[in-house]
Amino acid sequence: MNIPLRKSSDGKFNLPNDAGFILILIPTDMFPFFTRRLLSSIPVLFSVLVLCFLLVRIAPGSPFASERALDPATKSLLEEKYGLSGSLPTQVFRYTGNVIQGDLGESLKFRGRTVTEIIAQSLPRSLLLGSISFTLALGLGIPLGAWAAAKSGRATDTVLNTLALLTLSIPTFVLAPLSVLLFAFYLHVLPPAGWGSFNQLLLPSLCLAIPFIGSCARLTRSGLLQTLRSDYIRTARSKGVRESKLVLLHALRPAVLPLVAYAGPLAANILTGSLVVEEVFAIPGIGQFFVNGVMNRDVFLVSGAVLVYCLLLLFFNLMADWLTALLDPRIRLSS
Amino acid sequence: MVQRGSFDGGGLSRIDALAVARASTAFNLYCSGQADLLLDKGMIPSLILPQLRGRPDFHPGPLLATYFYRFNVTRAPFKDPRVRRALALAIDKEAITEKITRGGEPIAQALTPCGISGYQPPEGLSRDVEAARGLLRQAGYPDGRGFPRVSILYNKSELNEQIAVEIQAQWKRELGIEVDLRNQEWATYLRSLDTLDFDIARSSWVGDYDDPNTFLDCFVTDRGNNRTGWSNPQYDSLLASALAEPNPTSRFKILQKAETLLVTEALPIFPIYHFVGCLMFDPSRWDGLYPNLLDEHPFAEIQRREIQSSK
Repeated sequence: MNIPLRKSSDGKFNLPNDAGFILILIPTDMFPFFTRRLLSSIPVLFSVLVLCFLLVRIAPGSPFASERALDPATKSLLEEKYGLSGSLPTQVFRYTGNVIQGDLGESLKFRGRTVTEIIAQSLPRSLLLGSISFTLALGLGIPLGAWAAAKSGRATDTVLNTLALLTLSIPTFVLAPLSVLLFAFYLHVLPPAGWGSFNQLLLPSLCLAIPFIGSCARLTRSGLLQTLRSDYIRTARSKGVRESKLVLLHALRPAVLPLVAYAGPLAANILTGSLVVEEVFAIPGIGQFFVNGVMNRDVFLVSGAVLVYCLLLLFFNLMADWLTALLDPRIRLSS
Repeated sequence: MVQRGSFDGGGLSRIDALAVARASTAFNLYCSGQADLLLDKGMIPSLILPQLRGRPDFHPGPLLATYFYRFNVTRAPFKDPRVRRALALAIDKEAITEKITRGGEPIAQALTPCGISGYQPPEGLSRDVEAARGLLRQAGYPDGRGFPRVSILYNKSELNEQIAVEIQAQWKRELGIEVDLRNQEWATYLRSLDTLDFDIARSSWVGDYDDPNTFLDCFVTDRGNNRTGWSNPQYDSLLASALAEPNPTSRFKILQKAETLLVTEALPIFPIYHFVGCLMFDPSRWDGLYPNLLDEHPFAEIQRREIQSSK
């Protein structure tokens, strides 16, 4: 993580009277950092948007192509209607101008539906599924990793490590159909696919979370093992602090720092949907729209989805940096 | 979809159309009772099709659609009709429908599928490996020697790949010629077809209306759907005269003559199989669904049997 560090003068939090719920935990010396990061996000977002638009437009194939040949005159009329006529710089200029005004354009494949409408309908589903999976990944990964580190070198550690490796090695396109076979057709306890009820959420969120549970557990374990070898832990141990208290109270907090750095991009990744999980469980989330948008050269839909992904990534990276500073008082995010 | 006002929804007040991309997912939904009808063969995993035959809820039927390969006749060696004919004659289409598609698809000797009222498609070319070898020899490639390295273009799909691999193996075995496989994703593949950037390409065509013209018109000179570079004045004039012919019987004769020219003489394409449509529904619960050539199933006709019997 590329954060300029400096020691805090007092390490205390200042609580402004008019601060909101989130802001009360932000030390005042972090405000310049937050402002700078938010401001630097604007050119990043803009560049990503322009690059994405150009890449999709440059890729061979037309968004209006189908197996039935399209009359060239009709094609140019369609291009004009959707603002895809003229040179590439003209198109980029027109598109970014529309985006600045809040218009993400109309889908070229799902005619009559705006990109904003598609994102507004599909993103909440991916967000819900992703947040459950994210909670599961951290909620199970951290304790399992801590447990493995506490039992380092023993049978429990070996079993947990093997399990973590297994979850990382089984691809979702294998795991998802197998879980459907087991839970829906052998045990008859969960529906095989669909969206709308609590039962239908369980299998997809678990399948989405499982590989990340493994990686979270491994990151926690390695971080914790390193921390448990530190001098201050040795001192605490020599003073007779109980092992469980030692791990949970003293070692875990600094040990999860690498995990926090990993969790930022993970959150953005997991919340923006997975094509495989969404396809196997027939979930109309944003992941499918994004991938199919690329296939169909649906430039506005792809750019819109990339914009959302980029926003989420920037936000969660910022949150990860903020959490890092909160967890380790020695770290301050200076200007 | 919810029934509105005076619209006769055939007793169904609401229909949920599930947007499902995977055949296995659609089939799982059907098997677990979450979906009542599967209205597309693409929604049934092809691996289990043979096991479904004979089940009372499996309803296969012919479809107005053909799977075929195109030659780019502007490129050597496919400028020579003998080469195109030789390659078409060497294909074992039964092997493809029995081993790969497995849905009981009829093999295609003509482009137009059977079933169009009043029209009899031409018999086309039957498999004849000896004749194929002879033609290749005449064209200057005895036992495939000296045959340039060409490729089969297909859009990314398991089925297309399996068929291309099978055809590649058959040509190697029967004619001694080597072809490469070229896989492109959909939009790029369409562009390659449009710009004639291929040697041989897989294609399919679904008829828009119940008439051979929906298939044959594609290959008129410079039609957007021609995508072979093929041009034949005789074919063009036959299609034009068919358009002007008011008598249906004579019109079909003209179209049959044109199709004979297309699939037995000139061969800018060679048909492989005709698609079948497969519906899955429990006939004791549902009525008003019938397999048909155009695969059209008006929702207003679909009725639940309990409702029908209580009326």
